[in-house]
Amino acid sequence: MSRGFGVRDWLRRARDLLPKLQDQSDRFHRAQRAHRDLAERLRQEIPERFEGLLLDLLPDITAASLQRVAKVTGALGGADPQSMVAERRTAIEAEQAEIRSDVEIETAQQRIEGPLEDEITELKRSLGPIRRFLREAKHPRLDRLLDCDYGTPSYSVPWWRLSYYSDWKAGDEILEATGAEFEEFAAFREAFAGRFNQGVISQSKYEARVEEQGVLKRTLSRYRELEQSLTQVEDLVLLELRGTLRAFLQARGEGALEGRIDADRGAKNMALGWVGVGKRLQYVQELERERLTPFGAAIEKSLAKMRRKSVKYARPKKAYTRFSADEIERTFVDRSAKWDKFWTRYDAAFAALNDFDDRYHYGRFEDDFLWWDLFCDGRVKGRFSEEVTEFYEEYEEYSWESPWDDSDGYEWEEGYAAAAVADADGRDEGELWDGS
Amino acid sequence: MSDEAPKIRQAQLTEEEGCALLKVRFNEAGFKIQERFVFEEVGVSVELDGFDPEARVGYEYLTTEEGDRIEFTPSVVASLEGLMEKGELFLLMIDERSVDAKGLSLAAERFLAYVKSEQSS
Repeated sequence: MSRGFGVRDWLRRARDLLPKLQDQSDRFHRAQRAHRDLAERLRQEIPERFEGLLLDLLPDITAASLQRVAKVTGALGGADPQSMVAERRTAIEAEQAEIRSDVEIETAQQRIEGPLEDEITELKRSLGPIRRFLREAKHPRLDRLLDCDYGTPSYSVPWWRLSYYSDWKAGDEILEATGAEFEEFAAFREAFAGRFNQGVISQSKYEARVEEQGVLKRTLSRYRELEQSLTQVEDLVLLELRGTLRAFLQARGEGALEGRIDADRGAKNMALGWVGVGKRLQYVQELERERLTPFGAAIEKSLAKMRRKSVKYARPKKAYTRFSADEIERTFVDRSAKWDKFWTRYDAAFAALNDFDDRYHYGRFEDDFLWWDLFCDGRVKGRFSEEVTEFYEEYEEYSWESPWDDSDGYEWEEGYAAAAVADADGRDEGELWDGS
Repeated sequence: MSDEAPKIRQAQLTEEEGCALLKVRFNEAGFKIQERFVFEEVGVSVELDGFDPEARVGYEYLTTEEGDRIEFTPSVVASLEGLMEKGELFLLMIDERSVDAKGLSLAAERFLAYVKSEQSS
């Protein structure tokens, strides 16, 4: 094999190739950002459209509205809103009566803000000095001093034992820590016992009053909530029924609507909007996962490799490395055409998803309908999606027919035409996405 | 009530460090401490950590890191304390495991002051 090229040749070609790879990398990152922005926008749109559908299906709890929901979705067939309203009202009134049997509502607020608050403030004030004293008197040896009667005639530790001196030292430290209020430990002992007991009692009273005040506040708040609820019973029942409908539709998906909803054009259009946005998001995610991400990864890998090798061959010790023509050809093969083809296809697919205007009402719930073709008007092959590929296999005779004509004023981007040309070359789309 | 523990100095001494500190304090007070002194009186035979046989002043660790000293049985301690009650022996008995330098030094100082006053009276 001829070794006809030197390092200088190699580096010159690398200098030509690196900016091209960098351009591809920059373009990939821009596309990725746009992709994720679109996905986020669609992700937010799904619940908005779903709530819109629920509001349209169940605007109130009249018999007519419930009949419509049952007819269109199959849900809430047995619902009796008037009984639900009556039951809720009875339950609220019963809870109010139970609260009134425990608490005098009319005077509760006055008690919270008046006597209880005063008592809590007073207990807190009286507890302050006691807490401070007990905190100051805290010492690791305090319990022992109290237990062995230190400071009293009953103290029996002999003077030749270390514990006698340790007790003495601890006693002095406690007296000092309590601000020299006591000259002798005996006086401290007496005060400590009294204040400790007083502290326990006051603390217990304080906690009880705080608890009582808290309970009273919560009870009063609950009573007012119930009063408010009584004026909104119908609304609460409506929310409950809407919640049931929401759970029903979420569990069954678009299958719950197929066939049933056709007669109700308004509801059908809203439902198609909800399902269609979900489909758009699905394709957006598949396009990124199956096409954009692998392409970007391959470009980044090539870019990193080329940079690494450029540094390597620029070293003096590599100055005499030789390369065969075949090596040079393989390393610096012109991939521009492949990249252009990738972007033509990718841009067309992305534009179909990104630019689709609010024409979801042309969709259908039936299995032989392909949402992808609606989004691109059948002009771009969506083989990046497993669902689309399987659809083409299942419906071999299928061909897309635009549900609108050009007079609708729908302007297609030029990219679609380019994509159509790219498709027409008969090559397998998949081989263009590996970025090699 | 606050559960916050007070900050105290807790540099615990080993028995060896404690004996060294006591020897210094006792010698400073004018005693001539002999280490590991064999004390044999009133039917008792024990080795004391530090003792001045002439002044009959010393110290002994009753409690070590490993536990109570085996030879210091309750009857031996009672015999020694009998001598101390009569003013015939002055032995600082270290009966606590957690001993810090400050506490031990202060205890020695107070013990020795008491011994001096007893011996001069």
